[in-house]
Amino acid sequence: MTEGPKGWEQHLTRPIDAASLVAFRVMFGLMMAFGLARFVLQGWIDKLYVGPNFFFKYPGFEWVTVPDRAGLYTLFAVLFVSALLIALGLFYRAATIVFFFAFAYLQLLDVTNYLNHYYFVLLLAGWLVVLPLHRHYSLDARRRPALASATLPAWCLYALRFQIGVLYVYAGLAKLSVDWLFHAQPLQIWLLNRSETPVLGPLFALPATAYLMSWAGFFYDLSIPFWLSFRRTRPYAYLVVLTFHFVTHVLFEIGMFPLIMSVVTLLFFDPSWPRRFVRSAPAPIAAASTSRLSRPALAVFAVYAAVQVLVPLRHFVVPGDVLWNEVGMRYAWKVMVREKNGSISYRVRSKATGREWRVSAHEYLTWRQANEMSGQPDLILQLAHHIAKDFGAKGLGPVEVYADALVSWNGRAPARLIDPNIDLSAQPDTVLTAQYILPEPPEPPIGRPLY
Amino acid sequence: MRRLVPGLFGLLACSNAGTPTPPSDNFDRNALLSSLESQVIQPAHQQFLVEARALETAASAWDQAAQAGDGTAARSNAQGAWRSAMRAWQAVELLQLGPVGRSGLATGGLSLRDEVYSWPTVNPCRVDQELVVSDYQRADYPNGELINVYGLAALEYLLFQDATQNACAPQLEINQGPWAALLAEPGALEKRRAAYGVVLARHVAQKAQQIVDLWVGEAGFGRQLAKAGQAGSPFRTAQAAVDEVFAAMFYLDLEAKDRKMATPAGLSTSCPTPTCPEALESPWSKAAKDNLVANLQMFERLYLGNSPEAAAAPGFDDFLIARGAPELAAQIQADTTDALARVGALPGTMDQALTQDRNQVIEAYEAVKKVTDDLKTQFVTVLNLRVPDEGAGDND
Repeated sequence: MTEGPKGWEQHLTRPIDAASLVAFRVMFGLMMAFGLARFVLQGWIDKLYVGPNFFFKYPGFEWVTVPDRAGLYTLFAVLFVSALLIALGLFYRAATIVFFFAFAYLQLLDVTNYLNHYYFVLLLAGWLVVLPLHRHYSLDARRRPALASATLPAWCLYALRFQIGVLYVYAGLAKLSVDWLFHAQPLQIWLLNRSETPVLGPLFALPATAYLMSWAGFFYDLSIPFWLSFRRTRPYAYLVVLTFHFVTHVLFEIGMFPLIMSVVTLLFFDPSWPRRFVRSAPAPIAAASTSRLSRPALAVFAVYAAVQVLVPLRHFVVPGDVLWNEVGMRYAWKVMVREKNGSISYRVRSKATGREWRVSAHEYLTWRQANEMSGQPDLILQLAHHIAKDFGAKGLGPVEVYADALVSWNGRAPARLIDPNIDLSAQPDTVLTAQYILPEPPEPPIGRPLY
Repeated sequence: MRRLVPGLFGLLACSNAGTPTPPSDNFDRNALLSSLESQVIQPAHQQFLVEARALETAASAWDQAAQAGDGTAARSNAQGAWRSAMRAWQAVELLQLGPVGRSGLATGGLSLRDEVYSWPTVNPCRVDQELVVSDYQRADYPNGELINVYGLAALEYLLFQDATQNACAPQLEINQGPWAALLAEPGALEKRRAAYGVVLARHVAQKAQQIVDLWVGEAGFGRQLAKAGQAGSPFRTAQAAVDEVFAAMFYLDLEAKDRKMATPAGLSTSCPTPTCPEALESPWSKAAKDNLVANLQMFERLYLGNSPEAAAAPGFDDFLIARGAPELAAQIQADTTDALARVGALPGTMDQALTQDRNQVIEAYEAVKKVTDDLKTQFVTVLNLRVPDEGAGDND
């Protein structure tokens, strides 16, 4: 005789109203379509992918190449159509798979385009591939009635809530730093330049505002998933969500991020919430679940969850401040927590003749790329390797490549990020054992501290 | 975390003793823009207009003298006028804002810069070809022509080129008879150079007048810049206008440091030999060093809001001080002064300096780089300025 599902398993597999998950599917598809159209209309395909001559690669994905202009526009068209198909719930499985891989491919084209919210979109797209969100209010369900179901297992909702919770909690933990909490940096630097914002501008010019917003942002990120999880606090918490993301939208050029977060946090509401707006009765829910979770699927989720929890912590195994050395910065939800600007050039020396050249990063990169890479040691190393290769191809090699990398972090006086005496061309393409990264400057950031 | 614990202890101690003043935003960006417009930019345009008119007059005198058969003295005068005009223009090079700026990139950009001075887009061979066909005699010249046959760079070639050979490759049509025919006619080469020169000088003066006209007055761009963020200005905020001034200051990095210094000094791969004096700016007049000095002086004025010897005016140094970075403000001023001193101290012309003491040129380059490093690191961070082309894409 087989054993029935345990309490936790019943909880995870119990049927819930599919309405909020379906609403999420529709809004996700529409937001993505809007975001992609906006990207094209702003002319960013040309600026970000056609203009540059050199692209920074992700480790293990060096083989990814940038298509020509026609290929790029085709890629965006494919993404746009698949996003709309997701919203409509038409050919959903194929559309989610196409969207996931096409979006992943787009992100892999150039590291300098990495954004936390693009990574978040990719993870959500991955979940869409797994979750059967086309079983209700979809053209697929209309085409294939056997597929239709007004309920979905609860784990679908919990998986997405887990993903949102990870983002918020780690974004909060990333703010647990002296610069953020006791110097209100970089928020103070940013807010002082928003003093011309209508209505609120004069407030942003007050030093106290930056401190208030730093602490508020810290507590918001760290605790909002919990406030959203309780019925009593949820409506107020959601108002805070809307206010917080509206303010970040006004203050910072973070594109779709505020909208995405305002939409996905609706998943914390009762699963039937969208029915209030379409005047539809809640789906009939079976009293208890008798189905069981697949053990291999559970194991896969456990590994995924562990990766999601552990990856943002990896910087703790590397000495130094992650906001300075950037080792463990990506995929860690360190959202808007540092302001870095650097001046990067390279000193290239011929091993044969001893002749020296000065190579500006701008010779290989666009302004935007140069600005992005100037504070990221792994990208500085990657360009050094490319320069060594390029000199070889020009018949000027073999060469040694040294970086002259001065970086100002949260308003501190510029300090060297890279050891200028280490030949980067001879360094392995990894940051984990990077001897070439110099320690962070010991002095505090600009401005008077709170203490 | 290692920093957080002392921070918490500091918070508990609640001590403010000896801490720097808090940065504030009491700094009036419109006052900065207004001051830059009236104390720095407009005077630079006016100065260039005066010099351009003087150049037109001198070129006209050269033309008359050359047509009369002896243009030597008048040509020398015109060369002096060209040097003065070029010195004045090199200041405007750092002011590629509004109508002077590039169309499509700068707010209100009309690409007038290229109309006056197209370097490094130059082509002496094309100038020689124009001489042969006398195309410059057309009433609407240089309308419809590429920028490499007119402006200060083409005029420099006409004024300072002593040799009778042309700059074209032997296989080109000009060297299959037309150039020889021109030389066969006594005095024809100088007469045509002078006639062509006066056309170009007139065009430069017209463009100088156009720049001034577009900047001055109630509807002028100068007013729009000063009133940024207010009704009638194309700048949505004063900060956006400050960003454009900042973007214009990057001329010092890409053009002055990298193109005018690094390449001739053999620090760039585009120079295959130990040094490349042929890559210097103003090769015929040997004015490369004067040009660099003028660039640095204008950078200093933009930074201080006025020339160092004039009365204090709101500048970027004051902006930095308002943001709680007085040390940086002083550092940039000191670095700029040092760069100016090092470039000015180069022996003779830039060509001579490269030949006599390349290391001194490299030291001057490093001094300019120190200024641009300041600009690209703490300056841009503290003032939260947008580096050029940063607008593409989102952040988080």
